[in-house]
Amino acid sequence: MYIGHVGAALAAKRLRASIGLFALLVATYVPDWVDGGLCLAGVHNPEGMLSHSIPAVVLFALAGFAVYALSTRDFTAALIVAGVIVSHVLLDWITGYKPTWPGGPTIGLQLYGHPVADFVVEGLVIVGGGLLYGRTLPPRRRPWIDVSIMLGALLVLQLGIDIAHMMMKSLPKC
Amino acid sequence: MLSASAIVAVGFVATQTDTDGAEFSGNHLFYALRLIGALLVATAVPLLIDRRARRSSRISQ
Repeated sequence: MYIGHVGAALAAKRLRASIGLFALLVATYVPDWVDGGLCLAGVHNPEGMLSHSIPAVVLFALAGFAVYALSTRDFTAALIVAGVIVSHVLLDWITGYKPTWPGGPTIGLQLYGHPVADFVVEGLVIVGGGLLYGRTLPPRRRPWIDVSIMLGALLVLQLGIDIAHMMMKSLPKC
Repeated sequence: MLSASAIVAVGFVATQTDTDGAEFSGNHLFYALRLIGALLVATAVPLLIDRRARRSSRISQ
């Protein structure tokens, strides 16, 4: 999943409005940031085993919980941040194909090969998250404008990625 | 608990990591920068829209 992860972060904002959106956006992409760091460092990360497997994501979630809890003393919010980190791999199992544990199976629906289906699924997550996020915004005369801008921008980004998938045979991550 | 997790993590990384003499091709660098750039865009776009929405809400009240 690509931009759909933002939907998870936006939905989590509804659960606890005091959590900054920046923290949630970082949390939702933690496994991909680790992927990027490992890629830049030239470390071989077979099929995302070090970033997207269950043990890796559990470790990131524990670290995320500890960092957020220690810095804010808000344990409920820290639990939500950890949940957002875990949501990454759950959503990736819908659209991608990810390792479970060393020696374990690789699972997922691998929708990237079907960009239209991928756009529909990611779009649903984005719209769901965006609508929940809209309820965290302060009341104003035309509240739908902010949500529409957010949803429009995210759906355009996702559309760009799915069009790229249609035009290119593969989009290697690293 | 965290230190035990860290030990498990180090062992896990040690068994999975294969530096291979760290061959770092141009393609490899391109892919890494493309991924990091995409993550920055995916983080910055919603963040900026959120900032704008909250600021304009304050102004319009």
